[in-house]
Amino acid sequence: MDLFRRGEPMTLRDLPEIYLDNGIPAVRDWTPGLLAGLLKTYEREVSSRGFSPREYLKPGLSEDAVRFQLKRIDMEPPSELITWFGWANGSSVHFPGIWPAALDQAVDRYIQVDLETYDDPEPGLEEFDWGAGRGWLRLALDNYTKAIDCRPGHTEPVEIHQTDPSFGFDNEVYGRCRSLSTLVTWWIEGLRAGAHEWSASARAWVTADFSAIPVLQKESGLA
Amino acid sequence: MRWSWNRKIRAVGTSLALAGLVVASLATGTGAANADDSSPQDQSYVHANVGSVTRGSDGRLSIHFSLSASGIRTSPSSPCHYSSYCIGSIDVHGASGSYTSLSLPNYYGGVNSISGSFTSPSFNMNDLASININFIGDHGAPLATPDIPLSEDVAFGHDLDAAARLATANLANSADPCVEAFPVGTHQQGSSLNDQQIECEEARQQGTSLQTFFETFLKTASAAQIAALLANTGTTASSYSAANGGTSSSDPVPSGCSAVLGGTLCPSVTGSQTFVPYTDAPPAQDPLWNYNQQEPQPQPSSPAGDGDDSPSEPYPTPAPITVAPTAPQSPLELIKRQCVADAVQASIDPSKCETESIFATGQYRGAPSEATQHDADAIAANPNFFELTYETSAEKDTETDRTWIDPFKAQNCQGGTGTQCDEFPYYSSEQGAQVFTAPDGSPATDVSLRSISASHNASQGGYYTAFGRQCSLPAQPKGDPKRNFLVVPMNMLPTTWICSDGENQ
Repeated sequence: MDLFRRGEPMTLRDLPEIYLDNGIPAVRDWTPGLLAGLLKTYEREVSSRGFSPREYLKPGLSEDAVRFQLKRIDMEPPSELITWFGWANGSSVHFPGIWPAALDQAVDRYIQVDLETYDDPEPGLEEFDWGAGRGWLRLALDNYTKAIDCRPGHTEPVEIHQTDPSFGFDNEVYGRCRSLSTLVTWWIEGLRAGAHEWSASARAWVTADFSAIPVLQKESGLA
Repeated sequence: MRWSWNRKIRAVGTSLALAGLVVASLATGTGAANADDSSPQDQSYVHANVGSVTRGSDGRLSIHFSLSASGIRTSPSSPCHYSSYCIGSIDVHGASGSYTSLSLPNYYGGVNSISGSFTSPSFNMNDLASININFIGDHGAPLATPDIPLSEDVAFGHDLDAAARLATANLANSADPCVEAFPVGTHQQGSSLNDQQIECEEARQQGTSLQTFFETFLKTASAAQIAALLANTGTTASSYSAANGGTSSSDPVPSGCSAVLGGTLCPSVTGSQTFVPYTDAPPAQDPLWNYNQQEPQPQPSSPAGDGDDSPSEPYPTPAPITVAPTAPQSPLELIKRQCVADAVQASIDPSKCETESIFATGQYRGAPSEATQHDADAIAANPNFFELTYETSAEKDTETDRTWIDPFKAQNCQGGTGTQCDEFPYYSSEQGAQVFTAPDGSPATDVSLRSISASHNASQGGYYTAFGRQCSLPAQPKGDPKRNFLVVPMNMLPTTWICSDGENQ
């Protein structure tokens, strides 16, 4: 599964189709190896816009390192999470769609912030798990970000949630998708459509054209 | 942990510089405390000097003060400093209740003390009696000054020239107004008349009118002397109001208007509402005004046998103002009061505090919340943020992506481990997540961003969502004014809210 250690994945010319599986977006014909190719493609897309991703991405982690750190918090990494941290262990700047957190930072945040709210919620906030209850790991350090199901026994392709205090209150499918590959596919589609631009002066990615972000991504609350 | 308060009023002085609506005062208070039994010599204290109190033309008061403090800690070993989050507040007490302002600006300090000079937010009170200033760190009990009496409130908002006219009118039929006006005084000239009566008579004989004499006297007199003269001339609250007109807190609320703290709200010709502050004399319960209506006290006499019956004081001085214990206010009452004060500060119709939902963001787990403090500071910097419009996350997702904040983090949010980039106005509001392009082409925003504790941030986000749901804000059609709400940061209280229909948490 440690695809970034075994050899260069192929970039993808044709992106996978995204369909609704009982109302939840998912890539069709998902395989555990799909994400590695998508990340390679994503990296090429950002590189073609004057951005040097490897200047900012931290070296990836081995599968053993990922498993070891997650075991501290009783999490079991999905195959895609091992691929994700094998690609890069966080970034010093944000990327289109996400500001990837290093694994140790994500684990620390889980321990310092999330566990306290699970064990001792504040009065009136007992029902607010932001779509990231016990066993869900945030991929970025913000409150509003993507979290991945790391509970022991999780299913594959793994479920991803957009964290939000209102998650799950009004709509059972809003803010959910299956597979990190779904997210990365959307990010690549947005880049190709001109949604994101690298501002060299600001040293930041800016959303140049919100309308160019895939419609299904926005309608699903995952932009 | 046992705290004991060492009440030390170092000085209460008076310096009146009256120009109609302005009074200056000097008052000082120090609060001290032992941290706990294990460190009995802890040097914790907060010391405040009240420099001046002014009333603006809009009827609002501004209090200027400075303070210094030491030993206020965010943890047993960490003192307050700029980047720590020790919270200050001002409690202002009047005869009709108390007012709490939590909008102290940031302060700064060194390793073991903090100091600074602040101007408090303006607020409406026409019966100001005392002030105390509090600090709360994350560790230990709050530290506060004792009540610092502000004994000059006889002049707050009241034209002493008008009082002089009234005093003159009240003595119009007097055969000897100078004797009536100064029944008690010093006897340095060996006359049966006291020195003040003589000074008054001589001025009149030289052509100075009684009114002019009173005006001159009042502008140089202490608060106690003013009180004595007004009492001796029968200048009561009701006669003052009758003579000077204006609106009074005891008047019926005009048709179409509504009563709010410190005045009334009346429709203007443009359809908006205008705040009309009360301009009457101090209300009947004002302690100093009450002294005015007491009978003059007998002149003190010297010990028998010394042959000197001159008074020991030039005037009988009213007893020091004591702040009568006020009835405890419920959190909702405090929130409403703060809301009205904030609304006036923001030039927003204060009646919205009665008609719109209020999100009173407060503490995190019983301690001051960094998120609440950020909101307070952001509103102070941009009062327009006091009133927001609720927008659900799903609606917001159709306008911007969740990573909108990322380009601004490098400049505004580098708080490090355990922090997050807090945004105000909230993401789920129409005013939140607004990005525009600066002239140089870089992204820019008016949204206030600050690194704060991730836990505090997450807590507030949850409560904000709970507030919106309980107050049914998302259920209103987009564009409906019922989605508007007011943000009242109250770091003295747990987070709560008041829905426009009266329901609350």
